[in-house]
Amino acid sequence: MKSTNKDNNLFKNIIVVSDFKNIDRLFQEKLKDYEVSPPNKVWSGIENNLTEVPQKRRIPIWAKFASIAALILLFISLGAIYLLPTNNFTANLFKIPSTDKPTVKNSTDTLKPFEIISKETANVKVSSNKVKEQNNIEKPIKNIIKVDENTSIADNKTNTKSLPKYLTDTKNLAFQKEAKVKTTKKGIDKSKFTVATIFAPIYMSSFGDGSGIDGQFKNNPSSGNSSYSYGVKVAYQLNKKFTIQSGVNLINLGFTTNNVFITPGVSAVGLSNITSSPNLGKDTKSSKEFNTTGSLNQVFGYVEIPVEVKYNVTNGKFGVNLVGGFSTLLLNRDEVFVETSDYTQSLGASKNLRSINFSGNIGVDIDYLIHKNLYLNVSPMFKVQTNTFSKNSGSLLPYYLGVYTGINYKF
Amino acid sequence: MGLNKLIKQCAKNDRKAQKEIYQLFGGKLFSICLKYSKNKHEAEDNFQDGFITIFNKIDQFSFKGSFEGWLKRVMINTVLIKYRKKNVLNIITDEIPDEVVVDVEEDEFSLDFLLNLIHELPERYRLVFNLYVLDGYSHREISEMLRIAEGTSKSNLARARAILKQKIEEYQQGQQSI
Repeated sequence: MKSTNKDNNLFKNIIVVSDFKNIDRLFQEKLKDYEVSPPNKVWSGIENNLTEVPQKRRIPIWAKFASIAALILLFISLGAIYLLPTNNFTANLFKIPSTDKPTVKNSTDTLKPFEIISKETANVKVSSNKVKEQNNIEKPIKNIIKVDENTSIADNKTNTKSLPKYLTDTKNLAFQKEAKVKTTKKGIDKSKFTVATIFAPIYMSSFGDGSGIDGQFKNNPSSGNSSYSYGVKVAYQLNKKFTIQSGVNLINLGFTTNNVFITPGVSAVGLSNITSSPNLGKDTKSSKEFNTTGSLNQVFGYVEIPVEVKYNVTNGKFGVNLVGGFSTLLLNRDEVFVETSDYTQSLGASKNLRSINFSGNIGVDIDYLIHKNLYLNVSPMFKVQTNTFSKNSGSLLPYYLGVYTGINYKF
Repeated sequence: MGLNKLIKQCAKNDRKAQKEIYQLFGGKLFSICLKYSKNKHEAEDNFQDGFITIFNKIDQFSFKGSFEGWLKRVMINTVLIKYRKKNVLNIITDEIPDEVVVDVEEDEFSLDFLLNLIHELPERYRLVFNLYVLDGYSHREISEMLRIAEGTSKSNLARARAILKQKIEEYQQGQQSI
């Protein structure tokens, strides 16, 4: 109390009367709405710290995701290429097969008597059949020919249709599609571009039955081979929801026709036997003795030009899109191999593969934002091919499933 | 660009938007730092740290209530946390001195003079005075923000006022004697 009295005494001496405010209000009036612009150097200090802090915290999170995803994809890809095929298919896919005579050659000596006998009976017939009947394989088969089930050669002949007509049809179609691709590219402006790399393990199979090699293998078990596809993709965002995308992929596909009977060195004989008595086929004692089972592998590669529309479902760090469209497939590789446990040999190219065909594509596309404009992209796609084969392939309708993955860069 | 869009851009670490926010609110926030800090140098440090916190946490802004209010809270908290860390030892003095009511004349004191008085206050007094008088927090809120007892907050405020009063009187005496 003493001190306040003292203060008050002082106070009375000093302060002029009129318009007083208490100390709180003095400070409030002066300091409440007061603004001072900070020194310029402070912003650069903030800026420097901002570049570090968010990155330190964010990158490890996506890096974990990205590296896990990359590892999984790597394993899937490697697995698809090296583990899944059970019949050395991949070896054919990547290596140019040796055109050497098969190693079984020695055994032809023992077969010779048989060969001579049959030739006497059906020599002329055989030579003509050789060309006509194997209408799907360019090179006449020299050493091997299969005999299976109760197919007759007459069947094959009736199946044959005129090739030129098909070719011109597909070509016209293809040009239309090509034109479409060009027009979509014309509309591209400066904004909303995405460029992406693509790699995809492919698993192939087919609807319906039949064989891509020859109609006579129609009832043989056949299977698709796993493979891969790679390429580049360009996408253009039309509006918030729709994106149109195109690109170029290389894709290798393969079909295996199993349980094919192969008789080394006595092709003509085996076939002539069938013509004369169709019911015998593989069941004859003689053929059982000399034939070995093997498989025929048809390997074909395409340059794929997809045109697809992407519909955005969810946005954000994870973008989910639905994809639909079609691809134009241009044949750029075509080879047939025969394969047994002992050897592999090329039989040349198949004639029944169309040089242009199409596929309908449908799938899901998932984007994951890695950094600024970089996205990790995973897109499982299901593609059904139409008119892959021109003839004699039963109701075979190949389809394939691919997990297209890549890194996207948005401009 | 609307403020809300700007805030969203900031949340995406868009440097341009961040600079715009900085330019819009920098003045107000820097003045807060000046008031709450010991001196100009520390105010700059606190201001920088506060803004970094703001941009790191801007995605937590819920678009309810005033953005400026949110910014101020974050800024004040940044400063408080800093000084709270420094003062591990809190001497609890619950005795409350008599309420001082000081009357002074308007326009007698320059802004710099008043700011200087605040800077010269002991740390805790300065903080409590700022929170209570200039930013309108209650003693209960202050006790939570500074992790002190409510009574401590009250006594700190009274002491701050007493010191300020004394300094003002000294100044006035000086003025009169001239």
